[in-house]
Amino acid sequence: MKNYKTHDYEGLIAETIQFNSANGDSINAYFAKPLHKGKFPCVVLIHHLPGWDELYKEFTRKFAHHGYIAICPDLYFREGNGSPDDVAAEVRSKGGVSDEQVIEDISGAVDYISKLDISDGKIGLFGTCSGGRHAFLLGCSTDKFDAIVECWGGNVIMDESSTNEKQPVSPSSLTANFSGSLLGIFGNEDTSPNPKQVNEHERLLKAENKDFVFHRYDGAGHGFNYYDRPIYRQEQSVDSWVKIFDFLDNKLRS
Amino acid sequence: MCTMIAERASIQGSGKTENAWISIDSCDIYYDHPDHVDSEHAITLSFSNQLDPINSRISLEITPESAKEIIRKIKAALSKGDSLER
Repeated sequence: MKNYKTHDYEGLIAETIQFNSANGDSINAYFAKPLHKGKFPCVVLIHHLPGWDELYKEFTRKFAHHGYIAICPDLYFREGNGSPDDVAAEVRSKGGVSDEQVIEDISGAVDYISKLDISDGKIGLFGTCSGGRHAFLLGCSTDKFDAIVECWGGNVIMDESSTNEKQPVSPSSLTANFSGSLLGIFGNEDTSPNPKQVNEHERLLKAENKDFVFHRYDGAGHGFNYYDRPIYRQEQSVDSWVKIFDFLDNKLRS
Repeated sequence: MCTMIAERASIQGSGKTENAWISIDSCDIYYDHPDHVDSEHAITLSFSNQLDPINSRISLEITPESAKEIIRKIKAALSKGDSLER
C-alpha cells in the first residue's frame, strides 16, 4: 500500500459522469482519477444495498488517492432521484436490482474505464454487502477482471428456495467459471454471510483450484468498514484496507 | 450482504413531513442492518405515498426489541379502543 510522504505530490479529480450500460441505458457514475502523469490500473466499485451514497463516493476517491482510476456506477439510477437512503428503500421494497442488470451496468463501466487513454489495461473490482455478492458473480460471468475484492457478500451461497426472478442462480453454483484472483474479507459475527457460509464458499473455491485468499475478523460483523454506522470496527477496518490495497497492488501493478 | 427481509402493508393514513402532513398509503417493513441505530439489526418502518415513494418517505429505525414492545402497546391500545366502540 502506497503511503504518501509529506513532500510527495498528491492530486485527484472526482466528479459525476454518465456512461452507457452494456444494455444501452445511460446512467450516472461517480468517477475519480489521479492527476499524476502516466497510466494507471482501474478499479470498478459496486455499491452496497444501502445505495450510491456518500460512503461509496469516499471509497471511490480513496482508490484514486491510492493511484487507481476508479468508477462507481449508480446501480439504482433507474429507480428515481432522491436522497440515497430513500432511493435505496424503494429498491429494497422491490426486492433489489436484478443480477442481469448489474452485470450489464458493471460491464458498461468496464468498457468506459478501460478505454481511457490513462488506463494501463489492468482492471480490479471491489464490492461490499450486495456489491460483494455482485463482485463474485461478475468474476464468474466474465474474465475481464484481474483482481476481485469481495467484502461480506451474502447470498453467494443460496439454496433453491431463496433464488428468485432477480437472483435466479446461486453465485456459488458458478464457482467453476470464476476467473482472476479473489480476496475475500469477512466478519466472524456476520449473519449474512455467516461463518458456515464463508466456509462453504471457501470449500468450493478450493475444490475448483481457484486463486483466492480469505481473511476473517473476530469481533466484527457485517459492514465493519462503514465508518458512518454503528457496525464500524476501527481496528479490523484499518487492517482490512491494508490487505485490500496490498492485494490490488500485487495483482494490478506487477 | 443485507438480509433483504422486506414486507409491505397497504394502509390508509397520514404522515408528518418536515413541512406538512401528507397522505400515506403504504408501509414497508424491513429487518436489516440499520443506517443509524446502534444495533446489529433493526426494524425499519418506511411510510410512503406510492405516487412519489422516494420523496414522500417517512422513516423510523428501531431495534427488534423496540418493535416487539411497540407491537404489544399497539395491541393494548387497540384492545382498549375496541372496547370503547362497543
